[in-house]
Amino acid sequence: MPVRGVRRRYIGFRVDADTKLAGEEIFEAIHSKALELYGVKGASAASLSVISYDGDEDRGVIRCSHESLRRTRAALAMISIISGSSAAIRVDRVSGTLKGLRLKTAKQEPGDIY
Amino acid sequence: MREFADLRVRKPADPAEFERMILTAKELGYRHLGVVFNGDRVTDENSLGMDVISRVELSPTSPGDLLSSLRRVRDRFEVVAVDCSSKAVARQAAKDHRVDILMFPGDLSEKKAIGLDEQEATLAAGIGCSFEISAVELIRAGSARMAKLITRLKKETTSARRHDIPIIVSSGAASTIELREPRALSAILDLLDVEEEAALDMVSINPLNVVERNREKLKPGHTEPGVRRL
Repeated sequence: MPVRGVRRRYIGFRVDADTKLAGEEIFEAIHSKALELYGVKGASAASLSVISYDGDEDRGVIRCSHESLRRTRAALAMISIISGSSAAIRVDRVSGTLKGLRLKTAKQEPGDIY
Repeated sequence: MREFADLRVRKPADPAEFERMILTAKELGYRHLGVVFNGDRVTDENSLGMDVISRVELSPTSPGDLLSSLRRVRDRFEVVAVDCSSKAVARQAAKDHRVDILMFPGDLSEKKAIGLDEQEATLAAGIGCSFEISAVELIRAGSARMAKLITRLKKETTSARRHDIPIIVSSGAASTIELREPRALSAILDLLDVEEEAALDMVSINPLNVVERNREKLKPGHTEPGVRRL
């Protein structure tokens, strides 16, 4: 059976900010913070990519490599300002597949954070 | 399943914001919240189902000042933290069993910044004092300051771990937006090369041990650990 080379993690997050922010601004902030904390090599190893962002609900999904999950979480946690506004990015759920992430998010209850 | 505690949240002046903070902390997965009361402890706090832990932070200017402050507050608060602004204060705090947590100022402007060194670590280990890291100081810092802060915190955590001093990681949040979920706080410790399991203990087991020990001490009849007057 073929095995995928890189294991991935899908991170479902929500943004808490003073003002409404666009998806591009949020992803730019995530990439910049990953670069600032871990450098080009670390950011490249994380293989960060944008999956989706819902501006109405301030929720989104990014993907990273399985081995860089903790570093990606750290980069998200260290963000405090996006485009001049105070903001926080909070991880709701983490899963190995997008389908799994959606199922977990649908079942999620308050205080039930991965 | 782990129970998480954020042992350092600064109470905002606006009661509505404080209520929002408690609700957000609950939503993020915390069951215990240490709230800094720098005046008199408010007993009829609306805790909204959260275990609110009363905490006081002392910023003494001299060892004598620390001793008199400790006499005043020790039996009124569940957690006593000391902001060690000078070497003399740090030494006194690290050997006084009434002190639960040692904090060091995030001010890096001085050439020889005060931090947890080997001597304080040895003293603190003898009395079971904990060392605290506030995530907000790292989060608010710009790149250059953050790099310096990481260097210092790495040294301090290495010292603390070498002497088996419990390390506590808290948010230090003064508003809802500064709160971070427990796993985010533990992930930040990746910057200090702390492994995941140990980092999770720093937001769950370590702070809860401090609270449990002090609640036991504050019960009527307590004389010393393991001894109660009936």
